[in-house]
Amino acid sequence: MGILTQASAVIKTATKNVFAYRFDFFTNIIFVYITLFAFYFIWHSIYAYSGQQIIAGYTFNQLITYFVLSSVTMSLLWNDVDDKVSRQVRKGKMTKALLYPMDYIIRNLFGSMGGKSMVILLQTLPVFVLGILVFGIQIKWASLLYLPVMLLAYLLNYTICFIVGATSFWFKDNKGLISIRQAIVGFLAGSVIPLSFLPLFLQKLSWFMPFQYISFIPINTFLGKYEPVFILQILGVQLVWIFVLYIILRLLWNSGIKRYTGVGQ
Amino acid sequence: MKDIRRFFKIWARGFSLSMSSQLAYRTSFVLLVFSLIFSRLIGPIITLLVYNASQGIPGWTLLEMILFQGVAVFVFGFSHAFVGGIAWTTQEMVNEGEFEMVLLRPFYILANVASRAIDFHGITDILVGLTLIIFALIKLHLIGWMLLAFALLILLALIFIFSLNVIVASLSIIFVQVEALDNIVGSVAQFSGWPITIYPGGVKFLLTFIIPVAIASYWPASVLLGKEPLLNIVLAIIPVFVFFIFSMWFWTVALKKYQSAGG
Repeated sequence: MGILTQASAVIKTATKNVFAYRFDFFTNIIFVYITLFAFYFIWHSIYAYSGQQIIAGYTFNQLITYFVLSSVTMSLLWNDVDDKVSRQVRKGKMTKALLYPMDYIIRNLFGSMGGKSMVILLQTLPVFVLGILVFGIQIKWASLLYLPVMLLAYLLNYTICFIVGATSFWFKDNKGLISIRQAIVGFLAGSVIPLSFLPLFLQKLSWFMPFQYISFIPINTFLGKYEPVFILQILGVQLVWIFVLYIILRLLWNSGIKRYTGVGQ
Repeated sequence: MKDIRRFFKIWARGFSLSMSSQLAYRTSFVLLVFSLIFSRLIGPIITLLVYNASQGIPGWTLLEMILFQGVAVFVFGFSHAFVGGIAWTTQEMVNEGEFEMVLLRPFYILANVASRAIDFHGITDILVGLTLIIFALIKLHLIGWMLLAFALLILLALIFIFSLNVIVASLSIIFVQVEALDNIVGSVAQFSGWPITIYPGGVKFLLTFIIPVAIASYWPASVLLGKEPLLNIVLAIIPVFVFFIFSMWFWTVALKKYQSAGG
């Protein structure tokens, strides 16, 4: 069986799994919008009270677009590979998972991307379209560059999550690490608030870490804040980070598999 | 009286079970505590960043907002620790077909569910909330008999949170397999982070009288800081009691529906 046939089988199964939860998607969209409306009113009062046109480099409309795009980005980024790997290691189920005729890391990547196609249809697009209708989000030509930056952001985030998952070969229970990853990566990626609100030294430090390439930079790309040449540089840096982290993941994975006993608990 | 004693006995057992299961993996426990502290501080951190970049929220200073958010963290920490699991446990038991077991138990159904629903990690939230409150109280020199009204309003906030979770649990009995219901408490929590005065009239009305989340931070902080006259407490108290009574009624309706469905 060619790798494409294998990949399409994995993607089809994942798609079916996701479609079973369409009601959850519907309610999720409602909750995303409740949050976005809360943000809208909070920031409306902050901009009005301060009398500033621009706060931390964003106009009011740009900031609302930022929050809508942050929800869009988060729905695209979301994956549970760290939890999944940990569960399979803890319960001794990795043995079966390793017997598949496809590399474990690659197979899971395809599986996660397969689930994504439905997420895009049922969650990402509705949130985005509502953003255009409700908050009047504007799309410029430069916004299209969000797509390639986001694709690499996805791979980057996926690799980071996988690394956290791989630590379960050493820590029997790594819920703590997963939760630290969620909190810290979420914040340093700029999912909660644009990083330009942070003190200058932290903003500078961010350029030396992979996190802002996951969310903050893709969203700013959508907003048209960067020149096309700079976006090429960003794509290059993203590729370098993916490469470096992938090497780390492979090293961790190979030595972790050697430790793995498959006994479970 | 005997029932109450028995409730606390069952409940204390649930608490120690939750604690020992969490402490089984020490490293993970410590990391979880750190991540929780950080997550709960994100609200105040954002507030700090907002006040650095702008004038902030109209009518509130940074320290007042820290007090405000401390109350919210404390109240929702209580939810996380003691009552947040009610909805979750009920959902899980209904999905797994275990709910009949609870229905067979002689003791109050809700007490049984509550004793299973304890999450030891919520204690971290409570401590973070308390630290923020005490820090702000000291910095703002707020000491006096108004603290009594403050404490009373926080007590009401806990009743509100309990009722909210009971309503979500009841919904999960009626609509089996709706995991998304978990989001309801999270969404309501969103509205506790900032003063309700920033919302338009309709939303303000909703948050004060229908789903009175204003009690979870706005009323305690505002009354203590003298932003709302003491008499207005009535506006805070009555909706909470109505909400509580509604939740109890709704729970019995849900149970009846479950039993008649062949449970």
